[in-house]
This record gives sequence, C-alpha cells and structure tokens, in this order.
Amino acid sequence: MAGEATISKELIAQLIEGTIDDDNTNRLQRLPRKDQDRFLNYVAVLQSRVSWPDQILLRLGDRLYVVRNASNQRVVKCDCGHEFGDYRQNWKLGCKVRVRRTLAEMRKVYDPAPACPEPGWQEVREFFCPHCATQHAVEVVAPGYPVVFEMLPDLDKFYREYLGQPLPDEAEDWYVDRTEHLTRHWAANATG
Amino acid sequence: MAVVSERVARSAKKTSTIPTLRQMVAERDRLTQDTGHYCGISELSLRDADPIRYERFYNKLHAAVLAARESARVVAASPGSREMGECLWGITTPEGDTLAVSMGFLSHTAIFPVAIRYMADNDYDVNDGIEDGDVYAVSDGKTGGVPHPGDFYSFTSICHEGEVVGWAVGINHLMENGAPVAGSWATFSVDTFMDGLVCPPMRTGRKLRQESWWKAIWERRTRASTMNILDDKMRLAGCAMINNAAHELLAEFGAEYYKRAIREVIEESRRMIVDNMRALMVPGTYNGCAFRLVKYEGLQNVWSHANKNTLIHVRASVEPNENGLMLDTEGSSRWGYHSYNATPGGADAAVFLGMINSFAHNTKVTAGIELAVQRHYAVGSIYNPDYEFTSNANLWAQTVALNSIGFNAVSRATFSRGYLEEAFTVDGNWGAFQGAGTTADGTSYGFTNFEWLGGTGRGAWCYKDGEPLVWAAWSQIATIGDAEEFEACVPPLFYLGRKLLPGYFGYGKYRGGPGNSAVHWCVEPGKHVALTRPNGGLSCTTSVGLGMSGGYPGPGSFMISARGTNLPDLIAEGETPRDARELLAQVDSGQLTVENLEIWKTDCPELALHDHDLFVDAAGSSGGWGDPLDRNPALVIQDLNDGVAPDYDFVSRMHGVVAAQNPDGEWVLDAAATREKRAALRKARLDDSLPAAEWWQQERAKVLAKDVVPEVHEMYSQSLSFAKFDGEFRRFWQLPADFSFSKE
Amino acid sequence: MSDNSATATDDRQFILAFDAGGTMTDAILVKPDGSFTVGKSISRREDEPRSYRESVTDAASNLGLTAEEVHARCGADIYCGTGMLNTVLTGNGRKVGLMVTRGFEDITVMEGGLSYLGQSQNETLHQQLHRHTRPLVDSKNVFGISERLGGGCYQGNIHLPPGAALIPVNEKQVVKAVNAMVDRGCEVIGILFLFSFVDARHEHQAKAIAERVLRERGVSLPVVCSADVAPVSKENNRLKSLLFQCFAAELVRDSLMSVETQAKAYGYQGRLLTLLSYGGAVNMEYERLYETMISGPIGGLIGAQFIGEKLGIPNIVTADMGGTSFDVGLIVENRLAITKSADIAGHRLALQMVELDSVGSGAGSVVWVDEYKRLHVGPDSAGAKVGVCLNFDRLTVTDINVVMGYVDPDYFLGGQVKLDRDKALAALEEAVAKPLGLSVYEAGAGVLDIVNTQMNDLLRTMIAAKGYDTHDFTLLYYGGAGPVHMYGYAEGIEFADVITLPWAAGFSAFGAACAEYMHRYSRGLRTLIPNGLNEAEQTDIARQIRSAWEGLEADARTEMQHEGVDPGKVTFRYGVAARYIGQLESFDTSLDNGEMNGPADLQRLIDAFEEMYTKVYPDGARFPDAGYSLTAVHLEAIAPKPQPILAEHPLSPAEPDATAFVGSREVYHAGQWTTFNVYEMANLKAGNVVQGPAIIRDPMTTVVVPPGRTMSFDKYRVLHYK
Repeated sequence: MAGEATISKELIAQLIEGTIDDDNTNRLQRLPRKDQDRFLNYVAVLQSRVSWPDQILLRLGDRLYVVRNASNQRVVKCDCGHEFGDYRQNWKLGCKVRVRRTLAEMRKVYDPAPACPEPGWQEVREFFCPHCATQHAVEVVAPGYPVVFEMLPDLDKFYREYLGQPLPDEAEDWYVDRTEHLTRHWAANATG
Repeated sequence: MAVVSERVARSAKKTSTIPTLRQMVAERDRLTQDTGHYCGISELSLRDADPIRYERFYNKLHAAVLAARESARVVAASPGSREMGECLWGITTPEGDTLAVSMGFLSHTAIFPVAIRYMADNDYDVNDGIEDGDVYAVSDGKTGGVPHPGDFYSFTSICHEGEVVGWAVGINHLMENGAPVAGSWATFSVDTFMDGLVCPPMRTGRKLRQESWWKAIWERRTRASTMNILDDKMRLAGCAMINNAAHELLAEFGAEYYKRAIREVIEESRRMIVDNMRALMVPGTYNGCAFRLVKYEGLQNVWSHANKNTLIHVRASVEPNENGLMLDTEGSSRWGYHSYNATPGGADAAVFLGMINSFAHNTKVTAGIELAVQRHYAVGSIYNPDYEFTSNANLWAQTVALNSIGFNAVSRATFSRGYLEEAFTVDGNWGAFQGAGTTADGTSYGFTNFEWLGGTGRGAWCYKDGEPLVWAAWSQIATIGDAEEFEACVPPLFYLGRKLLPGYFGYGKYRGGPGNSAVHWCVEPGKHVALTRPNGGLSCTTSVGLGMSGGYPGPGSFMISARGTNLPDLIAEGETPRDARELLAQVDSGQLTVENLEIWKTDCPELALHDHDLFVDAAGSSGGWGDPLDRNPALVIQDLNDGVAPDYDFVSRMHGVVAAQNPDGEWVLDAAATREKRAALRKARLDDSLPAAEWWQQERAKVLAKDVVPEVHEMYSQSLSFAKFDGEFRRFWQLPADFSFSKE
Repeated sequence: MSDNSATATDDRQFILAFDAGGTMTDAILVKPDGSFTVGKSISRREDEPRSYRESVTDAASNLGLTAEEVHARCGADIYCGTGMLNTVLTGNGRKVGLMVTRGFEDITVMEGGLSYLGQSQNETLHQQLHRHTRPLVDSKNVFGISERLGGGCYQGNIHLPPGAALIPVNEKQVVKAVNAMVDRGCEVIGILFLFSFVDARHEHQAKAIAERVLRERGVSLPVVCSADVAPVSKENNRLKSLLFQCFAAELVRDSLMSVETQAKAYGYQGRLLTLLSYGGAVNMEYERLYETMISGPIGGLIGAQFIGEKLGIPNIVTADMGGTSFDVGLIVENRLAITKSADIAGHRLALQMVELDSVGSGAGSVVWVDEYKRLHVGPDSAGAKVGVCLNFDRLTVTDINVVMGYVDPDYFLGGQVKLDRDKALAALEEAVAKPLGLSVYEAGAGVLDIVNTQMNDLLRTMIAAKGYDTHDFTLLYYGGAGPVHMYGYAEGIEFADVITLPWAAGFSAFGAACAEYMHRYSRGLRTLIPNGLNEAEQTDIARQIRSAWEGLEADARTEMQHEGVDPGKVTFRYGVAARYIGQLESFDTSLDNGEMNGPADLQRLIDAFEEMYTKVYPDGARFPDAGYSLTAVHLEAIAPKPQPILAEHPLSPAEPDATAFVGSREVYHAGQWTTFNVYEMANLKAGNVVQGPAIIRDPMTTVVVPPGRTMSFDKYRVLHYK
C-alpha cells in the first residue's frame, strides 16, 4: 500500500531547492517502498526550471544534465546552456581545470592547516564550466591520475527496463565509453 | 575416553547417513551457481503455504540474536563492546550463511562462510568431529576471512541428531590483541607474524564452555588479559543463548521445516535486495577512487624489505546488473609488506556496509546481500593477496574508503533517480589511539580508546548540510562512549577537551558535518606510557578522491603531539587547549610553549609521553556537496556566528561572501559586496584555469617523463600491473606501447 | 507536623489515585474495604487542577459523595501524569544555562553520537534516518569552566585516587558565565563536571560561586548540579538527567503544586504524591522530580507488585495491552526489575527505570499488507477512533475482533457506543483477505495470530533475555484489550499461573493507589575486593560499606522529614552495585539486611552477587578469579502509607448464578465458528468457575475463555486461567 504513494511536485521542488523541512524529509526516507513515478515527476520539475527547451534525460549534478539537444544528439549540458558534447565522453574534459599543487594553494580549500592533503602525493583538481564558471567537480588524486569518468549511464536500459518507456533513438553503442575519441584526437595535435 | 569413543562412533555414523560439512558447502555452491537462487530455492514454498507461520519462525530466530546482544554485552570489559557498536551476534546455516544478526557492526557476517568453508575443506567435522556447543576461536584473515585480528570471533556449533544445522557466532573488537605494536591495530606490522593473536579456526571449548588452557592464551599472549577474558565470556554468553533458542525452534517446528526455512529466508531477502537495487539505481558504470599513504620509510630498518613508503590506490567501479550489482576493485594496489592488506572476507566486511544500509534495511538482514552484491577482487591485489602471510592488522584504514566508493555510487544513483532524500556524501574517516604503559608501582596495562571510531560527521546531503557526529558507516549505532569510561581505562591520560573541530569538513554548496577533536593530557605516567594511532584515512590524502557535484571531499584525520609544554601556566590561566585548532593557535601566539611539536598526517610511530605532554587528535570529518559559490550566504554567516566555520578570511574566499562584525561581535552580511565578490571569483576561476585539452598536454608530458614522487611512481607501477587500469591509463594519456612505470 | 504527613490517621482511609494521560484523566477512589470506583475527565494540560476537579467529582458522585467529603477522608492522594514528558516532547521548557568542564562545550550537540534511540533495527540500518534529538539547551548558553578531577581507574589503585585534584575550579570563569547566563535570560542553571559522581566538590564549589553572583545581582535562579540529580558514571547520560531536571521538572513542579493546592482546597490534609520511574511515591518537593517522568505505566507494575505480595506470588510478568502498544514489565522476587540507562523521547538518561518493554501492537493498531504479501500490524494507531467500525479510515485490530465475534459491537463501553461490524468485515476483506488470497475469516485469524505472536515473543524474550524461566513467573494481564487477547499471547508459554482482575481496564490507576512511599538512594564507591584479603582488610571494607549506608540513611531521614514524614517510621532496604574487577557494568545486588561488620557479612554479599549473576548468565560467564569491585551502595527508604485492601469474599459454588449468564454468541475461533456463552463480570462471584468457550463482558473490557479452558474466581475475585 505504501508503494502506491505519490510525492507531489511541490515537495520534489523543495528537495531540489533545499527548502524541504525535516518532517517531510523524514517521511520520504521512511517510505517502505519508494514512489515509482518519482523519476518522471523529478525530470518534469527540473525541465520547468531550466532556461532551454532540450529534453532532460538524466541529471548528473546540481547544474549538469544529459539532454537530447536540438540536433537530436544526447549531450551533457550545463544549467547555463553550455554543451559539453556526447555524454559517452567524460564531460570533465570539456571543462576548464584549475589544479592546486602547493600547500599554500590547498590551504585555501582545507581547514585547519593539518587537514591539507600532502603536495606531491596529491593534488586538488577543480573542474569549471567554461561559460558560467560553475564548479562541477573536484578531484583530490595523485599527480598523473587519469581524470575519473564518474558515471556513464546506460540510458537505453534505464528507460526500457527500469522505467518501461523506451527511448525513440535506442542503439547498440549508447553505453560505450567514447572518452578515448577525445584523447586520441588530442594526442594527434600533441606538440613535440 | 568416553568422549573419544563417542566422537569416533559418530564419525563412523557420519559416513553413512549424515552429510559432511564439505558436502553441504559443495551442495550449497552447486545449487546456487546452477540456479541463481540461494541453494536452488526457486519457490518460497513455506512462506507461500503459510506466511504467518513462516514469519513467526523468523521472528523467533531474530528475537534470539537481539536478546543475546542486549543481555551478553554487559558482561564485557571494554567500552567498545558494551557502549558502542563494536560487537555483534549472529546465527547462520550449517554453511555459515547468515540468517539473522543483532545490533552492532553487522557487516562482519561476511566472514562467516569463509571460516566454515575452511573447517569444511579441512574435515573438522570428520576428525575429530563437531558436537553441539563446541566453541571455535577465529581471528585469521586468510583462513577465517577476519578483517583484522583486532576483531575476534567465537563460533559455536548447533547440532541436531549428530548433524551440524547451524552456528551461533559472537564477535567483538578487542582492546588489545598482543602484537608488537600494543593495542588492537598493529599499525607497523609487515606480515601476519606481527599481527598479534591470530587464530585460524580452532576449537577452544566444548559444551558451551571454554577449556581451561584457553585462559592462559589471553594471559600470556595479550596485554589486557582481564578485559579480553571478559570479552571472550561475553561472546560465549550470547552464543549460548542463541544455541538454546535454536534448539527450541528445532523442537517446535521440526528439523525438516527448520532446514528448509533457513534457506528460504536467505532467498527471500536476496530477491528483495535485487528489487531494491533496481528501484533505486540508474544502470551504468560508476567509478570512484581513494588513496591512503603508508609511511614506513626510516621506521622499518630491522625489516629492510618493508622500509619504504606506499601510496595505496583504492579503485572501484559499480555496475548494476540483472542479479544485483557488480563491484570491481581491479586497478587497486597490490598487497605489500605493511599492515593495510585485506582478504576477500575482510574486503566484503567493508563493502557490504553501504550495501546493507542502502538495500537491505527493509528486509531480513541475511546472507542474501552476498549474492546480490557480486565482487571482483583481482588476485595479487591488496584485496586478494597471492602471498599467504600478509598482515591485515590495519586494513580498515583503507577498506573504509572502498566502502565509501560503493556507497557514493548509490548516492549518485539516487540523486539521478530523483530520490534526493537519500543522497549524501559518504566518507570513511575514523580515528582511535592505542598503547601500553607501566605505572610507578610496576603494574602494566594495554589500552585502546575507540571514541572516534564510534561516530563521525555526516557528509553533506544534496539538499542540506551534514550533521555532526550522527553516524558511523561501519556500525548502525553511532556512539562515542563516555570520556569518564575511556579515561578510567588509561590511568595517566586525562581529557582536556572532547568536542567538534571548527572548520574541519569538506566545503561546498552544502558542507559536511564537522569532525571531532580531543585533547589528552599526560599526568604522572609512572615508569612508562606510549601510544600509537591507527586511522581510517589520514590527512595527507582525503577520505575519498572524488567530491560530489563540485564539493570538496572530506579531509582526513590527523594527530598532534606536543611534548615538553608549559601546561601548568595555561592551567593557572584556565586556558588549556580544547582542540587541535586552539592548540595550534596557542602555539602560534606563544601562549603554549612546546619543546617537541609534531603534526602527524600519517600514522605516528610509538610516542612516549611524560608529565604535561599533550596528545591531540582530529577525525570524523566529512565531505561537501555542490559548488561553494552556490552556498546560501545566510548559512555562511550562521556558521561564522556559531563558530562552526570561524575563519572569516577562509570562508569569505571559499564562498565569495562579504560580511562585517557589529559591535556585539555578530557577523552581518553585505549582500551587494557578496554579489560582486562572487562575480569576481567566477571570473578568477576562468582566468586561473586551463582548458582541459591544454592541461592534458602538460600533464601528459609529465606522465611520459614519469615526473612524479617515488610513492606515486610505485603506485602506478602496481596498479598498471592489472589490465583494466593499465588500459584506462594508457587510453587516457595515449601512451606508447613500450611505456611502463615498472623499474627497469 | 502530622497534619502535613503522608501517613494517615484511621479516619482517613480513602485513597485517591489519578492517571492524567494524554487524552483522559482517570481517577480511582479506593474505599477502606479495598473496593473502588472510577472517575473520568478530559485531560487539560493548561489547567490540570480543573481536570483533577472534574475527574474526582465524577468518581465521588458514584458513591453519592462530594469532592470535599472524599478529600476530608482521604489518606493518600497520588497523581501520575505525562506532563513532564510532554514538556520535553514539545520543547516548551525552561531556558537553561549550562556550565560544563572546559573542553566539553559541544556535549549537548554531540550527545555522544546517539542518533537512533527508539528506532527498530531495520530503521537503524537505514542510516539516513539517524537524527540528533532537538537539544534542550541553546548551545550559546553553554559555558566551559576550567576544572578537572580524576576519577580513578578500573585497574584499581595503581594511579591517582578517585577525586584527585588536577585543575582547580576557575572562579573568574564561573562568575563570567553566570553573569552571561543572567544577561541572556536563562531561567535555570545546570552544572556538569567530569567525575562529579565520584566527588561532587567542584560542582558544589561552582554552585556556591554562582549563587553568590546571583545574590549580588539580586536574581534568584535554581542552580542544579549533576551530582545531586544523578550521581552516576557516564557524563552523557548524566547530562541528560540534569537537563530533564532543569528544562522540564522545575517547570512541571509548579503545575503539580497547583494540583496539590486544589486537593488541599478540597480539604485534603496530606501531601500530593507522584510515582518514581523505579517505583515508589514521592511528593512534589522531591529534589529529582525528573525521576517521575513515566509515572503512568509505573502504576500497573506497582499494582502487580501489590497483587503479588497479597497473593504470595514473587515473580510476575505484566502484560498491559491498550490502544497503541503492548507493554511488558517484570517483577522479580517482589521487586521491580530496574534498568540503568533509560531511553526517553530520544534521550538516554542516567535514570533508574523499571524494566519496561513494548511493541507497537495495540487494539487500535493499523493492519496492512505490502506487495511482498507481508502482513504488518502498526505502528500507526487509530487511538480514540477505534477503527473502521467506529470512525477511523483504516483497518485495526479491534475491527477484526468485532468481525470474529470476540468483541460485542453492541456492548462497547457498556453499549454507549455502537460499532459497525459490516464496515469492519468489508475492510478486512479488502485490506487483508484479497491480497493474501485467503477467506476473510482465515485472514482475520491470521492477523490476530500475528498480533498475538508479536506479544507472545515479547513476553518470552523479556523473560528469556534476563535468563529467567517462564515456569517461575505468573502472567498478570490488564489494560482494555489485555483480556481480549490473553488466550493468544499466553499461548504455548508455561506460566506458573495466568491471572487478571475484574477491574483490568483501570488497573494502572489502581496500581498508582498501591504505591509505597519510597525513595531510592545511591552513592558511588570504588572499593575492590581482590581474592585473598586478610580478616582485617575485609573488616575494613565491610565498615566502609556500612558507613556509606549510614550516610544514605541519614540523608533519607532528613529528606523524608522535610517531606512531612515521621523519621521514626522510616524503614530501609539495602543493596550494592558490584562486578568482577575489570568489568565496566555493575550489577545491582540486593541483600536481605544491612548488617555489614566483618568477613562473614562480606562473604554474604559476594554470595548474593554470584547467585544473582548466575541467574542471568551461563556458568561460563562467571569470573571469580578476577576478584570483585563495588561501585555503589543502594538504599531504599520506605515510609508507611495507607494501602488498598484486596477484599476477601465468601466462596460461592463453582456454577455461576443465572443472573451472571447473559446469553451466547458465535465466535470464529481456532478456525471455526463456535458458540461462546456470555457472562456479566459484575455478577460473577468468588468461587465461580466459568467454562470455555465463554466470554466475560464488562463495560470496560472483554475476557475471552477459549474452548477447553476455564476461568475461576478465587476469594479475592482474581481470575485464574487454566
């Protein structure tokens, strides 16, 4: 019976905005089974909040989505409208990158001083939207570490098998990491 | 003599009718493998025929283990067991698969089948037989799957008409387990022979009673025998209660019902867990990483092969599938001559934490999770060593990061799926200290203070800040115990502070819950007192490698030793330091003078303390969520005024917030200046950064030149020895075929 | 003096007892012959004296008396309630200022990390549900004071002794803090220093300084020390006790005093009493009033203890089934079993509390089935709305009892309310029968089986978890729904006896009338009894214990005298908290007398400890080699107070009078429709034996006697089930 619960779009909007009160949060967390139609309501609320018309297929981050754009491609898109390209390529490689390597640089983001990661063993990478400068991701990793592809969704499977609403443009190769297309291209232009 | 002949007789009988443990385990494996259902249970016939009787059966089973803990734990001597989540009781199938668990650090059930498999493979039940109420001690990682020897297990057999029908198991975290490094995490072990009291499954008692010789082991092989003996009695007391309850159930429901029901229970929960995964996740591949530094160089002169630093690489991907999900750790470091190695069982104990939390909380907590969560631990890796004598003494210091990676994958999934109420940043960042001493009158003692293992701040939610000291990823009952109890366990150490550490968390649109910090003051140590400190995630690396949605990962834990101080002066002023932050400020201002001040961002070797020396720690911090420039300025002001984030210059720069103090010292927001500052900081971001393509060219050049510190070089040489990460690395940096990190 | 005494003179033999619940305030008026009558009124938090007035007037009218007449002849007036708990739950308490040991300023926010209290295991597993309880003090009103005392160590006397001075109390900081608290409008000041349970001198020193500052500033605020409120180990629990006292108790005290004023206005000449969470009654001036937090449920347990003493039953397990929960308590050897850390409303207190456990299945519990074909009962409850059969929108346990014929829809509350069986039937079909693919009556039987099994298991585990054997216990059941389900939850457990009373529905209030006037005192101790002490050393220890008891005896006499009791009439019970050296948890061990002069007495104490310990744990858990450690001495001080008498009746024949027989009714029981004879409780006499299948009806409850079973009334009209 609890499985039939439907959560209002208002409440979902409050979750997105961070204005939801704890009683409601608690109630949602205690649902014996989650409301089945949450995703579609969630996407509907998100769609109503963005400035562009492209259909949201999945939300990747606070201000980052996989959308089907005007030219019918599945691309990663920022709130501000900037497109990061094919969602099968790690969108971080479409960002601007700032790296904190020294203790002085790391001290600006970790507090108190002994909490700072150790230079040489670690560096802090910040990934910005080239257009609106939103910080979409942070990595604290060893120097030389490949940029991590945080999540490659299997959208066809999700929409067909999990939601029962297959996408019109299903294809074999939608669930393939295409990041190397980019790095191979870069390597070709490698200077020296 | 009677006993012997009896056992021989039964061994004979076994060959005829009763299956051996080895046969039962093989049958379980075969049926599960072939059908995809636990033990081939495709129909829940008992449940469907009479759901009410079935639930009644399980309620009784469950009630028995819950009651065992509540009643037995007060026998304990160690605060970790009695006050905190550091103990557990469970009941299993004959093959060691969990049916029900008490409160406590529940994921330890992962090792039960490992130990039973070892007993089965080695014919424990044939020679010299297993009878009802036999007591087995288990603390070995290789043969028992035990995470680390500090976690000590008591298995007691439940037999019906000569056949093993189950096991009652009790576990708790010892205060001292007799290693060269005193305490319960032998941080500087280089192999299992330095891990302290390590027991492959061995019988220590019969008829629910320990044999006399067993007491001598605690007295001669550990430094806290009274505590350990009482904890041993505690585990046994609980097992005895469970054993009795099992026999009552066998009498009431009959052996046939019992044997079928215990398998249906596991299959039923497996199904619900798989359904839960499908209901909450988005299919795809989720990647995560973390790092943990082992600083042995210069400390292991005696064992030269271990005398080097290691940067442990923890790498995992999560991929939902038809049978649940697959967690693949390939690419993580190889095992090493240090105390941070895991075994598959130990790794499971960590991995299942987040999985049970996320997918098993609305069903029966059984071995079902072990079928739904498939794991790949590459042979030769730190999770599945191909050397049989690795040390596991301090594996939790890195396996908690593995759990965080898996748990964060679930957070990312629930965020994308729209179940935002469940999504938060997961960190695994704990601390404790341990040691030994001898008082002036010559009394020796060993100790462990578990307090910061008992609870941590919670990472930021995707819609609000994380809370302070509200959970512990490794135990569902966060409790730090009481200063009055821990202080009484360590004669010469006294608390000068036990509080939250301001500013100590990962920043973001929403911040993590602040971590904890304590100040311990040494008074009249007598002949000697010294301590070391194991930690989950020390601050030379962050708890996990990836922040959530633009937030910063939580900082690691650290310690400060201040030896040779003018503390009496501060006592006179009533201004003794209360936490790590305040201590450092007092040192800077010259108010506190210290002859030997050391800040430990890696494990500290044994620190001997004298009168008025201070040992200060910080742990339990957690990460942020979202872009710090998106944080509501009002929350920044609130944190300033509440002292949660007290450094104005720091937060002003972090969040682009401008404020001024009014005459009452209260911070007040300057909204206009804040808007300008945020615009300027966004511009600076673009000015100070490079397009990924350019950055990639620069970094690639360094990689080709192997322009990294030796620890990082070593890390890559290990991780690239596994094909999966090697491929990713080469593809990402587009490296020539002959490129290699391995030393020529 | 005697006018102000709780002990009555002969012409004052009425006893009044009240249970001021969330919705109703019940009054029990006990006459000298032990018989009693009930009065009711709506509970009014904002005007408790009015609820008291209406309730007592209602009860008195049943006897054709006025409230004044009753009070004039009243020897004891006991008032239980939930006001204090309500204050904590709603957060409308006093504004507290708190002084803590420097470095512990965040303790109220951290609260030891306890963020799961009151959750089921499944809830605790889902850690997103973990939450801190709303603090009872604004963290801006918490001030650190530089001071430190040592507490000694578990290893024994190998380092600084307990109470060793490490850092003196910083007077300047206390003065500054108190001034700040006054400026910030604090209404009460609490003090919590580490190890004050071992030595209170630093807390008391800070209190003295604070009171001096308050005098100088001409304000009067109560200053409360943790050592005076809860002198036991574990600062986190001690803090919560201190905060409950400061935040809630001092506030509620005023309201209770106003009720007492009302009672006195009616001519009552004694003191208004309330119940302690570990049994016993105290008046409203009791210093640690927060200990009366759960006075309500305590009533039932005290009633059970009273019945046990009257009938010579030492071990009783109580089963109280009301609308929302099923509560089980233990009486062991005529004592209330006590637990040390009480979890209330998300707080863990350092409070002695009776062993009370409950499951959320009551008569009003909602019944539902999830899509995994799993049947759930509760935790939601219809409360006063009863169920679909009255005016609730979801199926409840009562609905099913009506459908199955156990409960007469036309005799609910004696027929004042009519229940709709047809609606209940339809709801059962819809919510349970269809989803489970069962016939409606199978479904109903299944639900009742689940409910009964949950209660049955709680009964078993409550006894088993303590290591006791049900054969040594008598089950005493009560509460409105208790007798309806007894046949089920008592099923398959072999008790020494299974009993209830005609007034089962109002038993808790009756129990309150039975409470003895008792205070419990404890004093921390750190005394070791290693093996192989010589006679002189043993004698020395014995004397330490004796003098500790004497100290408590003196405190008790003074305090009770202050409460208006004649010190000469105070009697004592003795006990200690002991453990094996090295253990953290102490075990309360009661002794049959307070003799403690030498080795023989000390040995008696050790034997008592071992006997108690082996009752709970397998032999393998004993550890005499370690030696023993005494961590506290206990004292119970008892003052005389009139008690209700359980009236004896002449025995009638086993066969009930024709007047007792009301008729018969069809009940779906044990898988088939069966004709049950129906009897009227009021007309059944001592000596009568009712043969099952039968139902004994009463305006307040229904006693179900299944086929093959009997219910026999003894000379006290206690109902025995066989």
